[in-house]
Amino acid sequence: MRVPTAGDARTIFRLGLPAAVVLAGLCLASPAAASTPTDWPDTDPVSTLRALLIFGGIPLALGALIALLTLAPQIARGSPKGDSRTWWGEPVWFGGPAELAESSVSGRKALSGDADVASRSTGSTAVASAPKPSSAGSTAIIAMSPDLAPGTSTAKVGGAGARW
Amino acid sequence: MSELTFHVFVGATGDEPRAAAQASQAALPDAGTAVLMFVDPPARALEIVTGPDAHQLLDDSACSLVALSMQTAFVAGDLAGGIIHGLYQLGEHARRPESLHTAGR
Repeated sequence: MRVPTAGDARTIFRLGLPAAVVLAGLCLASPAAASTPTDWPDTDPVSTLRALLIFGGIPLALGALIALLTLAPQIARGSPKGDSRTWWGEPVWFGGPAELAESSVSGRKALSGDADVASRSTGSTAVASAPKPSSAGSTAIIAMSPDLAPGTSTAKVGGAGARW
Repeated sequence: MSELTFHVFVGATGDEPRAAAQASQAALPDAGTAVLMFVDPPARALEIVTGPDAHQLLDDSACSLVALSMQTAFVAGDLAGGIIHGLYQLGEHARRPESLHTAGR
């Protein structure tokens, strides 16, 4: 008679363990296959409208409530878009000449007084139509420099812009 | 080294941030190799302007990517972080391509 070896024990264990797991799962889940008890009272079927209200309306209402609570502080403060009063800081240059800071404060001086500098330096007017900020709350615009499309002369300024 | 100079302006400028940014960039002493990052918080505007020479290394696509990254930070309210990371990214994009066939000679 052949004596079982350690390899045989491992084989039995490998086959028996999955089978035991499957059997245990079936035994534990057997109550789910039971039919409805006969002593339970019969209730009226739920109408479609009522089901929609319960399973659709309540989640939607909860979502709207959470969104309202999230956005309430911002709504109470008002939209800061375009409101210059929300920015109190002085203009700051990092790595730029100090005299440019004042000319850029108003923007008008930079546009009129430095326009000739721009044309001399870049060989063009170097003034492009800026993309208008979107009227939507946080809709973003990414715009490449309109005066440096691929294939145009490289003796112009380039860059990109964004709104947030 | 890219030999570009990076400048950052943060402040209110007016109704035309792009035009103001280009005028300011052109007024820089090293306008050809200057890269100006122009941030207008009241107008919620960001402009990156590259000079003619800087544009050879830093094309508009790279600037758009950096602007998108900065915009994401600005929307979240992180003005300083967006500027810092934008500068890092501009510096990384502005590397000159290495000429391997001339190396070691």
